[in-house]
Amino acid sequence: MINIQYMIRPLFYKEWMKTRWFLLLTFIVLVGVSSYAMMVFQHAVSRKGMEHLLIMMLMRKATLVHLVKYLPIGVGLGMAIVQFVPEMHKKCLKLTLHLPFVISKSIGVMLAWGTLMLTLCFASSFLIIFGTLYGPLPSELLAQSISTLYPWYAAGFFAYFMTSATVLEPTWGWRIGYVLITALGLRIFLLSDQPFAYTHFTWEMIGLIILASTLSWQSVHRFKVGHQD
Amino acid sequence: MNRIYQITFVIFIAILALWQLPWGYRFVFKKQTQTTLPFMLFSPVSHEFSYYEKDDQNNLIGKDLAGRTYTSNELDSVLPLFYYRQLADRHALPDTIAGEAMPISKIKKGRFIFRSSPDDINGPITPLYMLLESEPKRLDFSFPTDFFRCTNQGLEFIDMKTNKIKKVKSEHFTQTLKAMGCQFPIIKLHSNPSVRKAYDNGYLMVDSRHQLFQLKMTHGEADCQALILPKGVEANQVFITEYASHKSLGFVTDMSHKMYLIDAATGTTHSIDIPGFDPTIQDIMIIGNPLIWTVRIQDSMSTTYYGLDAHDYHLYKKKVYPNKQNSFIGLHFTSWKDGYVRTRWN
Repeated sequence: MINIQYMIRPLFYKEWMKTRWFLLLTFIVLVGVSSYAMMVFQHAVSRKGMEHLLIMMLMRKATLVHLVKYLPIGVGLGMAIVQFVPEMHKKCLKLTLHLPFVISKSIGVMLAWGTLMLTLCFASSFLIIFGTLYGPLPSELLAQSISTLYPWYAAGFFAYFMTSATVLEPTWGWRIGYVLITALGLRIFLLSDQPFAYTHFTWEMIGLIILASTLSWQSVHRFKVGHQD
Repeated sequence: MNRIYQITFVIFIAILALWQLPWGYRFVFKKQTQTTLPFMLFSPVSHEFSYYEKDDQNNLIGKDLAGRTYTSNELDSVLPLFYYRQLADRHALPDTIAGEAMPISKIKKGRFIFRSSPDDINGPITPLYMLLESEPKRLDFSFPTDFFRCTNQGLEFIDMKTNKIKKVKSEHFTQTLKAMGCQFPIIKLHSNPSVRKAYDNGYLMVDSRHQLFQLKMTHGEADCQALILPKGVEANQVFITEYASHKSLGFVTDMSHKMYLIDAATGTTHSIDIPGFDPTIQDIMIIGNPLIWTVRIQDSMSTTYYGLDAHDYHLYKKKVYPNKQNSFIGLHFTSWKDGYVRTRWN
């Protein structure tokens, strides 16, 4: 068996080759939509004045970031498809099973790549929003906007792990089960758009993401022992 | 290792099943947890709770809890302060009601509706507040150009345009409140920051010793008064009122959930003759007129109606309707009692 540390770079390179165009597109869309949302904010300030905008934010609980809402989910879903559909379609996963290192570790490296890339994409979107709002908004109103944003990013990670497990899953029965879990699980992340609504739910969200991340290994295990429709 | 993955999958299924199955069961079988009650008002004429109901032919008929039935016109006369426009239209509005002269102007001035829901109290808020100028130069109110936040040291006004703290104004308002005996931090406060109102009562505030204060801004200056609570009473939740009668400053509940009305003229409090109202778990609606208040308090256990005298707030009558209990316990993430998403069993 080859030590996994020697395999990280080649595996990351493989993932890079598969996902680079998707990542470029995702980066452009996320940065573009986040920038557009902030341009709408700046346009409103120049037209109506900062006072008017802040009063509306306070009284109507407006957050200025609603345009971003479903993007992280789309990005997570797309990332998993781009990463794992070729593995299954071109039977690459079968080849990977015959490589001289532990399959669970190589799946871990692949998921780590996806997680890292999603983090970078979401961070770029977040930094554009935070950087624009940090100066003009009082900390309370800045927190109001940011507090609605992070459950959506969390939903993006959840969508990524669940879609990965679904794509890697060799049997239709389990696939349908995973799709149901994905739909209901995503509903939990989108239960409320109200600012600060998820303040007491951060650990639960992290727990759900961690649980979702383990399901891919289960799918690969079933693939390895020969379950297939 | 495979065992661990199977366990995580089972955990996932269990969470989603505990969440969705009770909801699905209620949705399919339409199990209502709360009885639908009619809209009831206490009559100053019959001294009984009266309401409209639809009969088998879908016609509206009036009823009261004493078992009497009324036609629509008769019910207008039983609840003359609620249906006064209907009566006036038919030239049937009496000059006196319950022995008291009651011109339309008096009825209009004395009517109000007060509502509060646990969601208003427990829900997430952005802790920035707007203090309107109470005596604007022009007739209409306008929004201020600053907010204030409550800190442990006092009030901090922030200029909206520059996002900079207004040190002079912050110091002035903090010192004025301190001079009235206010001890920071402010733990509860309430106002009606609308510009579409007849007058402004500013903010009701509860300080760290549970004492009560009113703060307004008049000609740009802090206008503050300490309100007098009965001995031993510690204010808990406050609600500002700006009703046409100008009689009240607001409502306050104490730490044992007793409810009081704050008299605008004297700054004193009057006890309201209801056993208790906990704004964090109960929903309240008061429909008031110059003679009678009908109070409805709802929580998960029951809905209670109270008929009170509008002069001294003593209780005429009450009626309790227990709610049907939900026997199907499940996992929920949202609640009507607050706006937070969190794990809860009920």
